[in-house]
Amino acid sequence: MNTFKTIALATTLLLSASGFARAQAGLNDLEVAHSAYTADLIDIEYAKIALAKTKNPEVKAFAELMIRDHTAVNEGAGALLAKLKVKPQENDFSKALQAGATKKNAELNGLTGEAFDKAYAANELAYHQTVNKIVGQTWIPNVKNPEVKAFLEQALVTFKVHEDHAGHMVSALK
Amino acid sequence: MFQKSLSILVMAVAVGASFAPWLQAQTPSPANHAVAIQSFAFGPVRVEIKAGDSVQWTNKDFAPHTATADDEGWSSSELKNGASDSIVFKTAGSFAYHCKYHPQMKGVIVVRD
Repeated sequence: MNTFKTIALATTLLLSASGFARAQAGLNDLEVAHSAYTADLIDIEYAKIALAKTKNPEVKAFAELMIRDHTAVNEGAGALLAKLKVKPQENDFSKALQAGATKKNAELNGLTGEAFDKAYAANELAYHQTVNKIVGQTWIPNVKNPEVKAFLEQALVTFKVHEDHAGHMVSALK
Repeated sequence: MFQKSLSILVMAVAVGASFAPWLQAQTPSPANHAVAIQSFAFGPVRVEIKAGDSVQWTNKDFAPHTATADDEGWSSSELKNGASDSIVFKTAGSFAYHCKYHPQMKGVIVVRD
């Protein structure tokens, strides 16, 4: 029975992972912009949950940093889109991102104390690793507009710093 | 007598005027040294200046940054993307600083008399 459950869970995870990978391939520039914007908003929401729940000063400082930096990146995105006079396009990938975040928000909201801090830190590391891989390996090489490409390259610098910071936070909380 | 005094006065003014630029050149105005903040780093990391000079930081990243003394004796304002701020260094010394939001970003200002 346990083996069956494990196989079922592994299959579900694999299917979601492949669906995730498919959903972010072949996006046009405006879909990439919407997905990047959504990814930023999701991390801001995670940080707001952390600020409401954590008592750990390092976790609190990290959450404040996420809100400050991701808000700034989204302001940059908004300025670029206004300059280009285009609107980002919602797509399957940004919907999948949001659906995943809704589940994760519920999971994080159900935790308290150290359990919350560890789960938040682990999620921040995993989330930045995943998003950074997509930005660096799929979006930047494939976007057509040079200004959108430059924007993503600059945003990725910020996100990689966050990934490193999240890694240190995970280690410190062990 | 009046004409002679006038001539001396005119000559004195002329001599004074010709020396004025030279005198100015001997007292250089304080310099402003630019430091760019880009890709989560201060560039140049180390800046050597004279007492009375200023340092101006300009943020080219999306993320807001600061230039804050390690001993917290001085700090720039919060620098959003494209923003600049300057600080005048009046006394000699070596001043290590960092970004208060991203402490891994470090720099140093060396002020000489």
